[in-house]
Amino acid sequence: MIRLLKRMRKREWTMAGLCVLLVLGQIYFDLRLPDYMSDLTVLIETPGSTVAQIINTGFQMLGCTLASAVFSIACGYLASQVAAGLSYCLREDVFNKVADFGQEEMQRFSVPSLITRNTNDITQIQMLVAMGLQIIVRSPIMAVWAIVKIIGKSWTLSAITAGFVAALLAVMAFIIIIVLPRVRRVQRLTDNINRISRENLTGINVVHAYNAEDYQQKKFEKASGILMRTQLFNQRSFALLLPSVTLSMNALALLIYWVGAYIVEQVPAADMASRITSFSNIVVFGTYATYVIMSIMFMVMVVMFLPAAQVSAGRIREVLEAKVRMKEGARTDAEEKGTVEFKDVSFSYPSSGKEVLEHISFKVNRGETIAFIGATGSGKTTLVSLAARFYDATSGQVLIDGHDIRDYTYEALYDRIGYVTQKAVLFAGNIRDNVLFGESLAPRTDEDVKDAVRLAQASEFVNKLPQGIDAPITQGGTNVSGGQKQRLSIARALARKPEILIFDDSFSALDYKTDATLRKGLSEELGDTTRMIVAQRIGTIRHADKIVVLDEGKAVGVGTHEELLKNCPVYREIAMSQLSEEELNA
Amino acid sequence: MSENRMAGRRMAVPEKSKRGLLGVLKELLEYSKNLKVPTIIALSLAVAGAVLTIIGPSQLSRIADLITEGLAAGIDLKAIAGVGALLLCMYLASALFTYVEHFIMATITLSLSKKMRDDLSRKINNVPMECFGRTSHGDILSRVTNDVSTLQQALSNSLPSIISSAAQFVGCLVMMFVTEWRMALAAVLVTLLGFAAMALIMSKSQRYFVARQRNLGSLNGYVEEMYSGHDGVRISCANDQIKKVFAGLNKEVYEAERKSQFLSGIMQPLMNVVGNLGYVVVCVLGAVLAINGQISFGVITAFIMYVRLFTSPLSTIAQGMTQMQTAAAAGDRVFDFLQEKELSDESHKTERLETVRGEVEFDHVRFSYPSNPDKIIIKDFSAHVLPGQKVAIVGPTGAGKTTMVNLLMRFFEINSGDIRIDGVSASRIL
Ligand SMILES: Nc1ncnc2c1ncn2[C@@H]1O[C@H](COP(=O)(O)OP(=O)(O)OP(=O)(O)O)[C@@H](O)[C@H]1O
Ligand SMILES: Nc1ncnc2c1ncn2[C@@H]1O[C@H](COP(=O)(O)OP(=O)(O)OP(=O)(O)O)[C@@H](O)[C@H]1O
Ligand SMILES: [Mg+2]
Ligand SMILES: [Mg+2]
Repeated sequence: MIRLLKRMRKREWTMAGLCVLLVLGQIYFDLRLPDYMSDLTVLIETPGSTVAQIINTGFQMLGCTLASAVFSIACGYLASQVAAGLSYCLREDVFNKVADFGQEEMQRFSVPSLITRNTNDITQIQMLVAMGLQIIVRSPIMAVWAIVKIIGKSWTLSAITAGFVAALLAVMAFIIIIVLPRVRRVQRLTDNINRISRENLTGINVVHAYNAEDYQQKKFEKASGILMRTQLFNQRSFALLLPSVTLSMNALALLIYWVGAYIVEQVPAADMASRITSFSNIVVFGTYATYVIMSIMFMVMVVMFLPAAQVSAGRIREVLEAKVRMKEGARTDAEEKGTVEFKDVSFSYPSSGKEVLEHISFKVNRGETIAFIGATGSGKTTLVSLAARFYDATSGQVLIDGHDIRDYTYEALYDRIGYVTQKAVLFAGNIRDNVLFGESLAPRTDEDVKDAVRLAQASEFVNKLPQGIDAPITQGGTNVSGGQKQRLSIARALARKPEILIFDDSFSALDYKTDATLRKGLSEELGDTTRMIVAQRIGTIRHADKIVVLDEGKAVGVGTHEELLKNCPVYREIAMSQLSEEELNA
Repeated sequence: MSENRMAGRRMAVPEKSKRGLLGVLKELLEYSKNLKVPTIIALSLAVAGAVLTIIGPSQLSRIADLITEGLAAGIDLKAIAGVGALLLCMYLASALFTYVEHFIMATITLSLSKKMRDDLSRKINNVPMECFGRTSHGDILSRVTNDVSTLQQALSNSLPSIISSAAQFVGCLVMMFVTEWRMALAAVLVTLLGFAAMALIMSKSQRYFVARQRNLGSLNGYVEEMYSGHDGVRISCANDQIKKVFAGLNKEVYEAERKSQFLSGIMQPLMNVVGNLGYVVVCVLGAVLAINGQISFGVITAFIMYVRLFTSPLSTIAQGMTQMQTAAAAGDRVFDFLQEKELSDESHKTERLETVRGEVEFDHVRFSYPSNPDKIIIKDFSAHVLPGQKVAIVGPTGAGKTTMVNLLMRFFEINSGDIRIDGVSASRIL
């Protein structure tokens, strides 16, 4: 929690410091009031006092009140600004941190959990700070200050007050020790619910198609029920707090007068002046004691917020302090152009540890096309994602333009590479936003957008849209067809004008004709561009300069279509299942 | 780009909570029928607890009087003990009532929020797909968790505390005037000032709270989208770009937050000031009256407590109201989604296909997506597939193959024509 506060800007710190000073000033003036009241009591009970004397004291009291008012309003203002500023900084820091996360970190934290950390968790902290600055600082100081003021006045009454304070603290301790851990659980359970509905939302089509609504709902309701039961226990325990505080406050005031009566009675009746002082002390004691209890009550209120905020703070810190494993290099230039080389690359995912790629070696030169084929789960996506440095190879080396991929800056690397992921990703916005998403050295005019769209064989449908390249795209690209979505994500990669293009199964949703025209266009217009193509269809890759056949992470064949047909059984099997006899022999 | 994107995310949310606080409460009662009775019981207990505390000061003032009267002669300790014991019992009862009230409210609102969550989750599976085009996933998720929880907390904490504070307020008012009208008048005048300030702030702040909630909603949506599309961000080197867009959204939230939080931030201190002022007025006026022998000292003691009991409900009400404001905005969002038009009302759909033979018929089907009604995707399409027949839908990309399947699955409603399964219109099948 404290460590998070360090992220505030200078501005917030200054305001927070000021706020504490203001609180001190405010307490000083607040606590002066009962003193004046004690003066008044003496005046009232002493025969011969004048109204003028009272009015005089009254003006002094008014002065204190106004001073306290100025201090407290200024403090309230500052506290709210600090809280808003802190949450602003935290949101920015967390988002910027996550934006630079690698795939590994994304998977470790999981997307839904990161979302909660960036949103709810920060709101929790903000609420605590907004209240806390005013209350956490003020209450203990107030309580201690008030105690100091009364402790000398009467030992009996001090003891009684101490008793109540101790009882209240015990209730607080119960809450902190027993309930806090469960509040932590509430956060986890909320995460869980978030995850389940998110799964449902992203897979909504599948859910409908399999009539899995009931299954999803049951899963959700189960999690929702557990959440409810945990919260029930927590809130019922918290319900103890308020009544016990009110009871203490009232009972204490009562006892002070009650016991006070005995104390006054002990002073000999002859000594009228001492009896009056003794009585006025009791009245003042009552007021101060109320201040003490009230301060504790405010602290209780904060305590109710503390656990949730603490959990949130921990979760935010986890993100902010996470080390991004992948380190960016410094290289921007290279002598070669458009070459990709894998040197004895093996890889296993950090999360599973099982080797997914084993000893892969190959090289492509500028303008060549290399294709990867293999059964699902054979490691094709994994392989090309290493070429885009989503992960670093566990052993071996990936070279782009003759240099280790780890030496490049991200910018230099992704300026060389255009990568179309297996699952096309579109963002809310319009077509132009999506094609020009991100930064690259390539020019970014509307002409370039149209060019990329044309090359991706998407212009025929984009032109039909009333707004053309300004046509809106919904989140996830749900308002275009599967093939259209794929072509737009291809256009995005093309618009970067890279040296190396990677297509991960990116023609799968295209019909044969579009697939063929697209590839023809690419080889005609982008003859200099190296292409890495993952495909399931032999037809898509048979003309590639080099084909790598993957089987359970191993390269079981490397060569041209004809060579592989001759000497790679795995490839021949795939080919036979897709091509006719004459095509095979052609 | 960023301008455009933010404009695209703006949802059509009105400036103020559109149902209003009372509207949301009414809707809640309709939504959950068994909410009414326990709420009434709990709220009555809250009132009873508050009233019992109010009687306190008058008894305490009797003790103070007993002491001052006995200052010269000798104090009647027995009488004091009697009053004290009675008062202690009342305080205990009040504490008990309050606890039971909290217990009940926690119980019913938590089960209400479970019902809401479950219904929201069910709703996700029942709304037409176009709904997800309008509302981002993050935004919907935020309704399931944040908004429901905001609403629950407001209902279980703020609502009873507003009611009991109101009771305390009124009770105090009565007791003060019964005890001493001049001092009561002075105390009330001072507090009225507080009232006026509070009302002013409330009316000013609501707009900012709605704005804050809305900005936060679109920020959350953006976070959701970018985190989910992290791969795409990375390969496009879009890190800096999305940081910039986010910074813009964040700035908007910050501005809205500064305004809404400032107003709620000074509420508490303002009430504190009013309380202090009341204290001073009561002490001074009381002292003047006491010196002239018009009131006893006990009245001052009583009033010192009354002023606190009288002003503290105001700040509680003020805080409660700001929370109810946020809750109303949250409630709006929850009910908006719950009342989102469903694929079509399933309740009157009685046909259930027990054993599906598998006969499918498209009869002059015409369809366009609701977001783009001018572009007819399926034009007057008819086909008849017999059970056991295998039919392939082929066509170039974007021809409408997926659309056809979507229609058969009834993800969208067709414009005209009919789709029949085993001779039964798909729109009537459960
Ligand atoms: N993030 C990950 N963490 C752990 N294991 C993974 C991860 N992604 C993929 N795998 C595993 O790695 C293996 C190779 O997966 P990969 O996605 O590379 O296959 P693929 O050849 O692209 O298959 P497909 O044709 O279905 O796309 C699989 O066994 C898969 O389960
Ligand atoms: N939610 C939507 N809102 C508006 N238009 C849509 C929506 N979904 C699809 N379309 C449009 O409807 C047309 C048909 O889309 P559909 O998804 O049915 O094509 P498809 O035949 O499945 O193509 P593909 O082979 O590429 O998947 C396309 O022009 C597409 O842009
Ligand atoms: Mg793959
Ligand atoms: Mg399709």
